[in-house]
Amino acid sequence: MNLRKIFLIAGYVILAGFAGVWMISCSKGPGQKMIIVTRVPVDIFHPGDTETVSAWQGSTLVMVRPTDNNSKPEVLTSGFYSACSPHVSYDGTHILFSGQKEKNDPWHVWEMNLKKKTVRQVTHCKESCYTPYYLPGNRLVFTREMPDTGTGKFLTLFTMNLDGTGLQQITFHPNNDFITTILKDGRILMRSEQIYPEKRPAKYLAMRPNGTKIELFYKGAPGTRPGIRVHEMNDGMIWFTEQNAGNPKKEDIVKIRYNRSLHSEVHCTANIPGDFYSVLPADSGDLFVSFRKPGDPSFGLFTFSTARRKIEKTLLADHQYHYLDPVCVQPYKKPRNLPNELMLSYPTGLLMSQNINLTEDSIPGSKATRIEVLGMDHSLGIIRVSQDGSFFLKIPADMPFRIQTLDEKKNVVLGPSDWLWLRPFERRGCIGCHEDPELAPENVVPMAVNHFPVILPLDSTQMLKRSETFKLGDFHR
Amino acid sequence: MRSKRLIYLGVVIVVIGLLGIPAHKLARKHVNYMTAVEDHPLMCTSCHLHMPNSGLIYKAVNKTYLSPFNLAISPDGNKLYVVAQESSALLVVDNQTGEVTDRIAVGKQPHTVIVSRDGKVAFVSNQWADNVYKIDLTSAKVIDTLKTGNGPAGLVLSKDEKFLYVVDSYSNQVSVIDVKRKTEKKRLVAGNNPTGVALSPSGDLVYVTSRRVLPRPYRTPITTEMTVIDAVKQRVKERKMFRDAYVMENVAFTPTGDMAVATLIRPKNLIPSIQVEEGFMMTHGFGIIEPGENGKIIQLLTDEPNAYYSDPFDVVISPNGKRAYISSSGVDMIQVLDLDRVRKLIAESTPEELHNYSNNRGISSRYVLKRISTGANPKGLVLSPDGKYLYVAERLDDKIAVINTATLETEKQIDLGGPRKITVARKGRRLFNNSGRTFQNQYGCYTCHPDAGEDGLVYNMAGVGMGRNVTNTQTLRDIGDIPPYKWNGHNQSVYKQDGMRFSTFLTRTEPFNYDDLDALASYIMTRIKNPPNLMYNPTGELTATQKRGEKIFFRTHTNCGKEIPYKSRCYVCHPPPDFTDKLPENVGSLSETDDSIPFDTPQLNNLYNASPYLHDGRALSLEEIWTKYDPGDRHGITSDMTKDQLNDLVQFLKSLRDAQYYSKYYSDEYKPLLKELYKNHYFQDKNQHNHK
Repeated sequence: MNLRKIFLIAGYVILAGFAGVWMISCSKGPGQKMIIVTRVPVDIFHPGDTETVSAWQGSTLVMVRPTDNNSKPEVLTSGFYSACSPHVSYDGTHILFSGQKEKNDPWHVWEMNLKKKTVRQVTHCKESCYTPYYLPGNRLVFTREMPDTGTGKFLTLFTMNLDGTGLQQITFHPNNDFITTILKDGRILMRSEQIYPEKRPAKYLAMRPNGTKIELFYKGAPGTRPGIRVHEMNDGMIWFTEQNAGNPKKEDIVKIRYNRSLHSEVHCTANIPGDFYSVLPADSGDLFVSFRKPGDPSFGLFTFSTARRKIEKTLLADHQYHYLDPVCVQPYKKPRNLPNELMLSYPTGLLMSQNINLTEDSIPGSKATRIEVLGMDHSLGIIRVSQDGSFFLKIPADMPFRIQTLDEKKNVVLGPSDWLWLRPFERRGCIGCHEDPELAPENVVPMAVNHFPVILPLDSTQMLKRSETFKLGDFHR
Repeated sequence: MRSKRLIYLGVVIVVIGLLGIPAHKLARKHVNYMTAVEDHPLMCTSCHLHMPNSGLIYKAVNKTYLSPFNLAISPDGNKLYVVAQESSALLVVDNQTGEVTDRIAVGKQPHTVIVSRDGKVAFVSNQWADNVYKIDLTSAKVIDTLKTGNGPAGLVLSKDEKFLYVVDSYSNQVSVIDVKRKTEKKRLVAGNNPTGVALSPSGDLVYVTSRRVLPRPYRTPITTEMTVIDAVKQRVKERKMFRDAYVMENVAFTPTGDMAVATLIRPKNLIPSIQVEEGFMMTHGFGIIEPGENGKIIQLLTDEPNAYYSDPFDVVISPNGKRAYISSSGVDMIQVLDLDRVRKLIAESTPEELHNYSNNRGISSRYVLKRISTGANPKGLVLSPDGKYLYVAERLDDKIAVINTATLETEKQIDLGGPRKITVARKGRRLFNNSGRTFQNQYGCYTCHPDAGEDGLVYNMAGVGMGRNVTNTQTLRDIGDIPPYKWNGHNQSVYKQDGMRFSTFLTRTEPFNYDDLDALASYIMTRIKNPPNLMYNPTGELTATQKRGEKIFFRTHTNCGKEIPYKSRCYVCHPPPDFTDKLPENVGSLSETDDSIPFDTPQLNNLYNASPYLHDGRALSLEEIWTKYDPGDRHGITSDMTKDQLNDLVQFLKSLRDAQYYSKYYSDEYKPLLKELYKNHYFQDKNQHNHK
């Protein structure tokens, strides 16, 4: 064999290799990629249940190639009693998932190498850990069940390094929090549902991965409940399912625009007979959906044409199992790795509001002149705000609190707010109280920041004194 | 013989090895110091190839681009006239073939081009030459040079085309030029840093925008002026005030004159910049001016709650008055506004609602029809006479985008033929002008540093507390040789200035990667030029007043003959060429809200149009530095000076030009003083900085 022939053969081999890789990985529509889906025994999962965790006992992760009609689902987690909530790494080679080795084990976060099918345990907490997501910077975020300290069990978010070190709690309120996606801007989007002291509707909140700058991202109509898996696409659309206001057992597919998330919702599957549970948008604009036809016992995996608004193709369906929560196995762009301004040794954070009387929910004739900061079981203090309605507080870090506004007679004008917290050294600003979240602030110096912050909690003698005769500048940092 | 050679080779290797290890360590130490990180690639070329600001390497590595800035179109729509700002040229482009058919040399830093109604003549303002060229378009020749005020920018012809209104952007005036007589008939006082200009359809009004805010008391709300000129009487008729807005670059009238639309930015400099998520830094939009003295002034945003469209520059309105097009130069987009919806919104809303809308980031969905992506840094716009095409000057791509206004799609790009190679500094300039590296694109470097200078605002960056340590924006022009940076002097290099802390407290998003940081630093370090100081020092020859001021600047004894302590002499802390000793000083300007630190001595080049002054912008004028804020003679010894002497000193300070000028020249009279100064500490300090 001469050298020319060797080069030629080598060339063909390389070309064939490239073609093979292209055939496998390059795709433009639904179907050419691998999809991992959670297979759940039909008697375990009932949509509309007030389940708090999408961790289904007996569930299994399976991988399918949607275009290949003959391919059988490949079981990925045969060594697990339960496995669900997969999230694919940015290079498309690994997944994080929550799993139970044995029936009575707590749920832990695991990582699987998709090529070698090897797994390793990432979390080792006593309590169960669910719904892990990769974060930029070799970290992950997950939901952890917190022990009951007298006010109930809450689901709280934690981050840690992929090697299991550097554990950090990032949410600090009596809510059930689930990560729903990592936004391309680098923030965590979570579904948060207050459960103490009273239940409040679930909503999507966005915050930085260090638990700072939390803000409302999406709130559905009364009676709806957004799902816990969200997909943000390159065209700026964000897809998820939402429990129907009229029928809690039915979910619709909803899309919103990232740019104006609070006022851009489009219900894509209203009036389509059948139930939807999960949605995975494809690059083509069509969707993979977990769908159940009327009368069917289980959810299957289908393609859904957004143009024709109809279910097109069955990918997986069987009466024994639901097929839920599809995710696509492919490399994708890392979200932004947001900088971290926190100093964890700092005991406090700062909170400034520009004008407490700037609100959408104002009561005619009432004007707030003070605020009361409420802790979990006690008041942290009543403070007179500045003349322009601004306040500036220094509050212990990582402690939940709520704010209500009061008038001169200390009657409640508005509130209490949802739970808030400040991380160590966090500096946080608000424009008003329950103001239109699309407002930007007026460009004026808030009078309160011309002086040192009021340090909370005030003790009872201080409270009386401050509330009656508070002089700006009394407090030192 | 052979073994000898081997021994020599071995010795050489050992010597190189012995020298190489410490050299590598030293290089690593140096790079770590300059970049303030420990993992920046050890690439000498990052700085030493791409950052020299003069000499052969600079010339070899860098290119002169075209940088199309503004453009005009012939009345028949067949030709485009494009101002190539960086190449000081007017390009004539055949609109059909997309070819550049003529390149006419114009003055320094040309700004605007307009074409007469018959299409025979063009006028080009030369911002750094203080004149306007009149060009015969048939012969492609400059036929007249019209003298103007300082920094001619926007241009408009009167309805009868007998008068040319020239916006003098640096001297804050409008020159009214008699075109036939080629003389300046009068100058009118405009706002602060005026630029854009438009003639009302009836021809009786001229609107002039301005970019900088008017002087106002310390830390109070800002106001920017729109000057209204009566074009019949050629007098200022009214000064319309835009509260909370600035950088009003351009303005356009609807064909019926029912409104004028101006681009603007609504900064949030008075609020601690702690919640960028909620628009706590910048918002961007446009202003509507209704006709008549009692006509409303309305401001609306083009931003959205989670997306900002920064640095709006030009605005044009379709011939039917139904659409406006705005170039959002910081995000490479054209925003298409439905003006009928804007009219409806205004008609339906109460004044209070309209005020609220000026801060509402969601309202734009009511009138922004579409956002069209463009090439890098879209600036000037022009519509074809029939309104069917919109032409966009893509400044940092050296191209003109052609947008079909029916489909609102880009049909083609006209390549103006700039250098193909994108140099590191050019890449840095793109990064500088783009807001993509701040959270949700809310602002770019350019936003606070327009034209790489400073925006004249005082910000509360809230690095630690809130309401404390407010700082006056500093220029980025000509700062390559004057580390440290920031008022507190904590940053020993531009690398550190734009590094991790910068992303934590300013851009609030992922930091620049090292390639981008290299490019950005390269752009800044290659010396962004100051405009020539043609207003106060056009030739280098000082006036008698300035000479007296210079003498005071270099004085060593008070009026009473008492020797001034060394450190209290002006020239000691502010020596030429940069007029800074690059050392921290406490000149008694600390306020109660400042941490107790000395401030890095600022450079003084081109400070004549950089008000306000001092680290926190308290001094509205140079005079105030000493008359109001230096009661204890800590900022030099000035209390013995007469009012005339202070005036002389101020006039001298206003005469200061770019540093390169002073590196070649300084008056013999003061050379001995400077020599002595350098011996004392100046060079020692410089060495300390450069050799760490």
